[in-house]
Amino acid sequence: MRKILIVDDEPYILSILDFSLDAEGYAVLQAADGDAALSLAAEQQPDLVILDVMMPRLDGFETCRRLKADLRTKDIPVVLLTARNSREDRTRGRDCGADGYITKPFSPQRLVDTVQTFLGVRHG
Amino acid sequence: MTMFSATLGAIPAGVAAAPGGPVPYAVAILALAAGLVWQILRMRQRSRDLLDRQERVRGLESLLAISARIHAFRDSEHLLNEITQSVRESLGFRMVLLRIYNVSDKVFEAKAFSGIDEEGIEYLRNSPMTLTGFRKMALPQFLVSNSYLIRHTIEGAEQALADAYTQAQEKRAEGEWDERDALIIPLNSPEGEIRGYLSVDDPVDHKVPGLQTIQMLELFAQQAATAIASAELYSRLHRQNQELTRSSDRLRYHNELKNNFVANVSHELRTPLTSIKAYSEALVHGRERMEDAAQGEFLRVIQSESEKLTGIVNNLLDLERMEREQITFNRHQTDLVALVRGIEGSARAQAESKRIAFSMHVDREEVLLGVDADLVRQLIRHLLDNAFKFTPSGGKVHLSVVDGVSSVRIVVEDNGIGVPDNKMTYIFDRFYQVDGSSTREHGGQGIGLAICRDIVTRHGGRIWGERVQPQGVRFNALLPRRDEIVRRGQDNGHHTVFNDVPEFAERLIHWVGELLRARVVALLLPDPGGEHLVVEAAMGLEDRVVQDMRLARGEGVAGRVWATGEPALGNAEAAGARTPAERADPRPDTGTLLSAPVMRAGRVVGVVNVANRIDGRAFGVCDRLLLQAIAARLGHVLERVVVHQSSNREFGDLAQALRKSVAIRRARHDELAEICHDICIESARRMGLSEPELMSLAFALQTYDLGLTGIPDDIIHKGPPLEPEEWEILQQHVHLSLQLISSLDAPGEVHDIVLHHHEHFDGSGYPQGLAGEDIPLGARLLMLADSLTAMLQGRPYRRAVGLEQALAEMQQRVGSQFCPRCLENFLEEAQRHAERIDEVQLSRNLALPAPASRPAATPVNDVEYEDGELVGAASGDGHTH
Repeated sequence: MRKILIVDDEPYILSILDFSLDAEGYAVLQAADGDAALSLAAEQQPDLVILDVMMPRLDGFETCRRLKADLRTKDIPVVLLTARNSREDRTRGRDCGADGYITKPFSPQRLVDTVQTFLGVRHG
Repeated sequence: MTMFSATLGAIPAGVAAAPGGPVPYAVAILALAAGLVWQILRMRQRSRDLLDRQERVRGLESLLAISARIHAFRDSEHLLNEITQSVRESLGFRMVLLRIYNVSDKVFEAKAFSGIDEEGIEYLRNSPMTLTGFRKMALPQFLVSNSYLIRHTIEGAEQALADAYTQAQEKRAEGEWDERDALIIPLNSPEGEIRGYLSVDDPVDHKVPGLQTIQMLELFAQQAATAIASAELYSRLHRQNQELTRSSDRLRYHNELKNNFVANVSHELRTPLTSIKAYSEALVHGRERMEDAAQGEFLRVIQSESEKLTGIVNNLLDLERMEREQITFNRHQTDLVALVRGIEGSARAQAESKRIAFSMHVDREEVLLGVDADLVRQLIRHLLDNAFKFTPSGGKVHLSVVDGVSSVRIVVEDNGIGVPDNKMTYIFDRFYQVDGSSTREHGGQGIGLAICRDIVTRHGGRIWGERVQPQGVRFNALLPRRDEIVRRGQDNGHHTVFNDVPEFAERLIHWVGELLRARVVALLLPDPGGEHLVVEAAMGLEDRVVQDMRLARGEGVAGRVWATGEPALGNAEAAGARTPAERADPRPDTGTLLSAPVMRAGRVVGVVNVANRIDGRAFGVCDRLLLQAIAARLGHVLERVVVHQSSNREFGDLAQALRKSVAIRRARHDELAEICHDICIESARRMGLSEPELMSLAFALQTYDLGLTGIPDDIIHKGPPLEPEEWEILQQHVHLSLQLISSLDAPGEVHDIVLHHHEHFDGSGYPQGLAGEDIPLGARLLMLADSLTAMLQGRPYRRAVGLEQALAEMQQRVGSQFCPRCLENFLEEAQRHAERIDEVQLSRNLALPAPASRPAATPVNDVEYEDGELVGAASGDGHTH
């Protein structure tokens, strides 16, 4: 079973992500902030990380950069989840090594589609 | 002579060439003679011309030098002074006046003077020359060249100079310049418009100036006019340039705010929107696979997030409406205590959900104030929302309503993440977020506090935030009581002292009320007949009482004070204060009225009454001394009101002193300060100070720190160690205080007490480094009171401590900072107040998370008299000054 780590400081968002991915048969890991995400990713080796950008303390960009800098986690694809979709943020996302983007507000169905394509592409 | 013969050889050439013979010879001789005479005459004229010309050249040269000098001045005031100086020093007149035409007022204002005595300057400054007046001087019969030489012998001269200022000059001989003469040289712009004129008098050579001198003056005037025009142009450009820089800074700042706002709002809106969209879609697509409970849970999320969204949109709309002044303003007498009690329930629920301890404190059962209840409710909600948002779980939020004489303060305090000092002034700006980064922990659009500021401003009040120790922030919304001052004859057109300056009456009465902490203040002056005392202005009295009260000499408490010149304690009802029932106020009156004579040059010229202390206590001896001290100065203040209504500067100084005095009182003189004042006065009495000395000390205690209002906040709040230059600036507050106090006519004694209250016993203090018994006793005692107040209240850079610790610290500095004899008496008096101090500190700590900590920095700016300047707050570190 594919494991997906979702990271967001908004509990409602975490729940709906969990609900949608769980329904599609993924095993879902949750983290409410960047620090928790880093240790969970290293420990559990998920197949994909969905990472919110606007988070207190460690933001999504920085978390992503650290994931990509860590030998244990550098190969795990990271999809940023963000309310920001400006060019500047996309550039920042690319610079910190993110593999993809989903902007808020998102449709759960589309999100699942994206995840599937992503994992499919990666493994196909 | 040499010149003559040299010419002789040259001239006759033509004549010598004439044909010879007796007749022609005679003709030649005659011709030669005639030629000679002609030549002589011409030479004479030439040499005279040459001398004249040389003099003229010298004159022009010096004129050129002066012009070069005056053209170098860019600052108008200096330039104008330089112009009159130059005329005096280089153009031969002992008295020079320069008037500049003020286009908007259509008068010539006296701007610069040279050789005119103080009295003359004062007179000239206060008597601008009107256009009509100028036309009376600019008559054809006086015209010489382009100037007006008004000789007293010419017809119309007396009339022309009717308003002129004459300074006595030496006696002159017939035909010489007379002190009744005048010479006016107009200053014209290059376009020929009149810009002002020079008036010169008392020529050094005593002669009536001739055409040449006048032309020289005109030349100079022309140069002066050009220089003035360039200086004006320069300063206008300079101003415009500054204005441009400022507005471009403002634009940049607003642009930044706008960008922040867009980022914040889109984030704020998108967060609930994301939930709503995701949950509703999940419901639409996956309903059949979901359990009922899960569906219900999803719907609840949608509902709660929709509410959040509505809240944000409402805030935005409120702000927009505020901005457009669309919200109607309904001011009604409102009980603020009932109002906060109405909010209490929802605040508690909000606090519980975030596990924050919420507490509330109101001074009394009822606090009535004319406000728009809806807006004030909104204000408190926003302040609480803000506090809850920035306080983590386990933190504390405290709401209090603090009743005051001239204002009511709503205070919301938390021990949350706080606001950095350098951001304190911006947080009320729209869309401002302290943490604008993507890592910020707290949502919000930066609107709540902006709405708060709008609401408070609508009520004529002020709102500010301050750091609290050890952490957190305290917001103060100050709502003024405005409508409570009543003046005599306001409606029926009687002439009163305050007719032309109604706002000053308010200021003065508030000042007295604020210093005595009294709800009722009345200033009584004799009516024109001198038979009765009538109320000139009052606070807390019914209009009817103010208009109708007439007291004969010896009648009632005030009448007795008027007759005897002695202060008195009496019954408030008798003096016409509203009864509790009339005030719709269930609290009992204190039953005491304090009355003191208003003095002027040793005579009783009125009476001032105060009643109903705000804390419900009875007036004591210290209050009596203070009121006496104030009343003793009121006579002088009133005279200044009458004399200086027309002089903005003088009057402004006085008004500012009162304003700052009220501000300082509000910012620093709380109950703890008041106890320290009492201790100080009582110690002074024990040490044998006379009644007048005690009065001076009482007044000094109220005013010694006025100067802090002129010191930047960051220096006051920094605390030791200070950089040398900061220390220098801080020391300035003593002189600033003295300057402000001088407007209130403090006699020498108050001046000396204030001047020396930072002198240390061992001579290491400032400003004069006095030591030991050379320091006035009052100053030594005042220093003790100041130090104790600072330690009990706490300062931004140090926590408050209890009385015991404070006294122990003071004892360590006996002999070095403090006078041993004074400290001994002071300590004994202080011990007698130990219980009350504990009580007050304890009640304060209810509002505070950490033990014995005290917030500190209250800006010393007050509401009613806000004048745009942001002034600093309290200082007075117990250790260093």
